[in-house]
Amino acid sequence: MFSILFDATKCVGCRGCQVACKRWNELEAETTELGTTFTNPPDLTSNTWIYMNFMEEIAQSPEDVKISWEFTRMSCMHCDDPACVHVCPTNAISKLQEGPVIIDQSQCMGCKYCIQACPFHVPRFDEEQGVVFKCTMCADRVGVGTPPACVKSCVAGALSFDDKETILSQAKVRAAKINGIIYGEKEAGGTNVIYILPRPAGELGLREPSSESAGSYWRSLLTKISAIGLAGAAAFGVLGFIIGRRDLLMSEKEE
Amino acid sequence: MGYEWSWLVSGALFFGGLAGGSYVLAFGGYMLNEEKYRNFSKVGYLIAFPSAILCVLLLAVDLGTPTRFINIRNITSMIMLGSIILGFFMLLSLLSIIGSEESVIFPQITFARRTRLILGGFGSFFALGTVMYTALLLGASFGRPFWGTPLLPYLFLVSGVLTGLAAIGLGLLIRDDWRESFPTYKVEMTTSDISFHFLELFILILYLGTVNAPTAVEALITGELNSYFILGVLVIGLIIPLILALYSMQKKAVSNRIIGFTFALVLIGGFVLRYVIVVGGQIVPSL
Repeated sequence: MFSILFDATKCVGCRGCQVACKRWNELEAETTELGTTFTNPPDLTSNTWIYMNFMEEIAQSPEDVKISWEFTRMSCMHCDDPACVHVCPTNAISKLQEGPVIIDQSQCMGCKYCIQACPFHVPRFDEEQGVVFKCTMCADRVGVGTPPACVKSCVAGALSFDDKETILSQAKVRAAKINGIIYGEKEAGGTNVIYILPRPAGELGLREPSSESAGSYWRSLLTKISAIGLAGAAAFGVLGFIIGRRDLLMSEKEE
Repeated sequence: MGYEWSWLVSGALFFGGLAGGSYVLAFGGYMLNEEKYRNFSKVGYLIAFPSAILCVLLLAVDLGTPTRFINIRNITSMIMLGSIILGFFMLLSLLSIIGSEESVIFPQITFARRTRLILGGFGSFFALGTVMYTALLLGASFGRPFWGTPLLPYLFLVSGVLTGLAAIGLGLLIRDDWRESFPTYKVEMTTSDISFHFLELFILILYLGTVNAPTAVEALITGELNSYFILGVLVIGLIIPLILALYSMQKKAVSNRIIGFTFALVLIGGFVLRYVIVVGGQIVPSL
């Protein structure tokens, strides 16, 4: 199984990955507006499957004004146990052996359940086509042993591609060296995109799902629902018995 | 801000709850006292079937590509399981209308008592399944912690029964011959109404107090859904109907208009409850 490694400490924010993704997947350009940061486009859409989040911080002291930048990759994490695959009623979403999680738009009925289920809030609904789109990890390239377009285009060496074990061991070595944080190893039960971050994920604008996988989350929720149901039924049973007993005693007393 | 699931899905969940709730009550009444609750049961069944149809229709209209509904085949998806449950429930609730005594639609057909009992038993099972499905559909959404609580199915269950009761009450007030039988159920209906109101309020407080989704809870209490929640769910849907129900318990002569108004408020509250939960769950912390 393959994985992508994103080392945020090496990224220069050139947006080459964004362009490469658009080119390889033949995604139309979109008119965007610059917001309060240099992040552009501002969010994922059905035509934008990856964007770099620019975090600007101004450190100001009486002598010096410094702007520091942090760049974070925003795209599908290709979960090991994808919630979108569990909930998709038409089996339009599948997890490939090589690692990518892909959507077959010809099967998608546009229920948007995958959007609700995704712990990273990645899939996007296309109003015109009535179906959902997201990053495919360039499954067509990965299938023939070629890295995804974003990885291939990365000039700073922030993105690399290899089998998951190699990627994880590289991430651990690098994180230990720079005192960084690994993101994606445990989140949502583990993913096929691993990040090395200089700071905690939440501070960089990334979602922080628990380490529970989609499957174990669902099993645990159903167990809790059943336990409450049984406890409620038992409580009503006891209450019914008490009321019944009281009525019986009262009627005996009246007689 | 646009949400992936909004009015249509909220409406579907509301009608699903209403369908299941009214069916369970209709069968419950039939089991308690067939003679006394004949009209009550009849109205309950008459509400359950079209409500279930509306639930399915609203869900289908919300689909981006409704014609691909036939592609459903993943048994682990709540949508697939829900479709099976709703399918059985629609069939059984339709048969319940057809087979009930002095049926409004098919007066010439009446099923044997034993058949009606079996039908009602299975129907109630799928009715409860329908109500639970409306909550489990949300609960299975791994990415929405506001919905991932074991209390939500029970909140929807109590709300479904409460709205079912209100809809049956309103239905009974529509036709002259049904209206005549209404006073015979009034005490039981009011008592049940008050009990379910308190139970719903209790579960709602427990739910909002324990769910691990501070952004969504904040949106309901002080944020963008605040007016819907406070006015729609608490004041219109729970507090005013509760006061009116308590008042009608004290005073015997309460006009049917006030009673009907109370039931209508309960229905509005039930719908707004689904809306704030569906939309609230999609409000996540901004990056």
